[in-house]
Amino acid sequence: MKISKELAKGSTALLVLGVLSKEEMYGYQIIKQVELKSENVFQMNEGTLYPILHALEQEGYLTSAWREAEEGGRRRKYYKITADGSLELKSQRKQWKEYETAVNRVLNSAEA
Amino acid sequence: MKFDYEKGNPVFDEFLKEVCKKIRGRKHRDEVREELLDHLAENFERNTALGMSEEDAAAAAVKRMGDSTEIAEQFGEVYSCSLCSQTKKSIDSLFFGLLFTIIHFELFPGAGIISTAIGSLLILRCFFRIHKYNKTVNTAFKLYLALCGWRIAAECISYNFIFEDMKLYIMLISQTLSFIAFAVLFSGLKKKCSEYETDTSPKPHLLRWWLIYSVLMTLGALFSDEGNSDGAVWIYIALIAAIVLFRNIFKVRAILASEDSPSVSVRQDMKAKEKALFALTAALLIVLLPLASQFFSSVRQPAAEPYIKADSEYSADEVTAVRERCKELGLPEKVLNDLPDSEIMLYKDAFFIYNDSENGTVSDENIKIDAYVIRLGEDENGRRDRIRILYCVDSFDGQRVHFRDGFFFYPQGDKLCYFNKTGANALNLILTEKNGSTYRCKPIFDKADYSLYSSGGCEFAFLRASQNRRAYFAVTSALIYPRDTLMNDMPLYYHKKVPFCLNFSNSLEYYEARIGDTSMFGSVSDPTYSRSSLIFLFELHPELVYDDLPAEQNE
Repeated sequence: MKISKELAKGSTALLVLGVLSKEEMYGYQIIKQVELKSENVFQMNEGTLYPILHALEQEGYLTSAWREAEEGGRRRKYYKITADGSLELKSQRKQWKEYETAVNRVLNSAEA
Repeated sequence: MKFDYEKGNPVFDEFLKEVCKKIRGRKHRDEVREELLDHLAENFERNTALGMSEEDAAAAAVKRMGDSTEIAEQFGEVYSCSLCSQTKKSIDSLFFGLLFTIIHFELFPGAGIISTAIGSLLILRCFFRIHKYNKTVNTAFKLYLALCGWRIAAECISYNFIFEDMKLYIMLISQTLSFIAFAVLFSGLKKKCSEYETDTSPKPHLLRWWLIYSVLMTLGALFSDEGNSDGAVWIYIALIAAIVLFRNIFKVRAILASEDSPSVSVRQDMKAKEKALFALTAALLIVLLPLASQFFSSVRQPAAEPYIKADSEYSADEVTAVRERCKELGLPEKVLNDLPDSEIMLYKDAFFIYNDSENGTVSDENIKIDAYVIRLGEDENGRRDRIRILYCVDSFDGQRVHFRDGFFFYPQGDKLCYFNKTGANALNLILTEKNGSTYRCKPIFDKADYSLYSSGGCEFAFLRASQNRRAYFAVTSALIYPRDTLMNDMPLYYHKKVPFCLNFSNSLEYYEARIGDTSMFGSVSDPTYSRSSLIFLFELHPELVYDDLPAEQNE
């Protein structure tokens, strides 16, 4: 099942922070990781990830570093969560929980 | 199949060009391009591994990226120029902050410290907005916070308590910290500018001019130490260097914030936490710096040791000799008799009496006492106070005296009392006229009666309210030479025995302070004298009124 674009839009930053909370990754890896963990539910337009990454970096939630890719001297930009980012993740996760509970409550009462 | 980066791919190029078109800043454009190309290449390689043709693989890779216009819009928001005005504000804050901290607008006593506080605040405001530019700027920010903390601690507590004798070192640490913080900031800004510079951009040389300015100021301070005005030349040149520095700051502003140039990439909006920190620092700077130091001064335990201890230090013969000398110099008998031994010994070194002289030169052969009048200026009612000087004692040859606008001399008949600027002058005994009576002004020596603190190049003396004394006027000495040690131990000498020889400097300000009905006197930072100025407060001697002294002839 694919999630509608509008629904996915608001949660991309949360997903990115969540994925990066474990280890540092580069853009392509992040997308693959999100796809893998969500069992292909989240299949975003891959290009739209980058403006989000850059915005998060500007907010101070991520830092980045260019590293040499394994093959052929190419560089790759790796992103890492910062302390501020971890706090933001915590806060967003909490918000998400509340949101989820609220949505469920509404839906459950509608069903009942 | 490996993607050939050398060869590239026209479909990718087209896509990347479209995506990057709204990104401001060459460096950011290049980086985004490189990052996205890497992503495209990875998809391309995966697609070709699945058996697609090169063309299909490239097209599929681009398709996976999504709508290029949408991505371009999103990048445009991240790297837009909408924050240009923020950057402008930040750089303007830095400019005005430096202006206020470098140039003190000495409109009233204490203005220096207030201007430093305002300047520091503006600089902090800038730092709070730009500290995420890069690591170097962030380091400068931390250094500057440390500097503010240090200044607050030094101004409020150290000067008045434990480290009174270490003022010079405390100030040196402040200046060193300030130098390093700005040097780091300027290299950080330079680094930031390099991200946006194009061939036509102006080239800012912040660090260079900061170094030049600092060296010149240091030279100025060093040469001023001698109490002459040579240091002022360096300071004036330093101010020119500061102007060039300011010009370079505007170059940075042009590069980072101009609508035509690429904008900054760092979001400068303050977060709530930062705003709170900013408000706290602001409160500390504005409230604590100027006010708390006064508070600490006033609550400080008065020193038990009075200044005058001369009775036990001089033999009776010595005292008699000085009395004779004073008499010989023409001190009226009545005044002489009122002076206790302890005080008369203050005039021990009186060997010059500056007298009127028709050609403006002073000769110690022509010793004659007259009562001269110095006009201090007009008070709020347009009245002029008159202070008669009986003695102008030079304790030490070769000092230069800065007689500023505060003092004018009344003509005495056909004579004019005059102080030779190239010679040394000091007022020892001052008679003042008030309400038609002539008072002897008595210097307030006792440390229990007042406290001193120095800040921002200014020296302040506060009479303690509890002592219920009022200063009639105050003078500052440009340089104080201990009688026996001359130039040695000047900082230590500060709160110990002060020899009664002093030079005037910027006396106008003291008078202004007095008009303001305040007992606070500030010596304004005269660049040539600020390092060693001391303040003496004078009060009217309540018992010593000389109504029978001859009045001025030419009033």
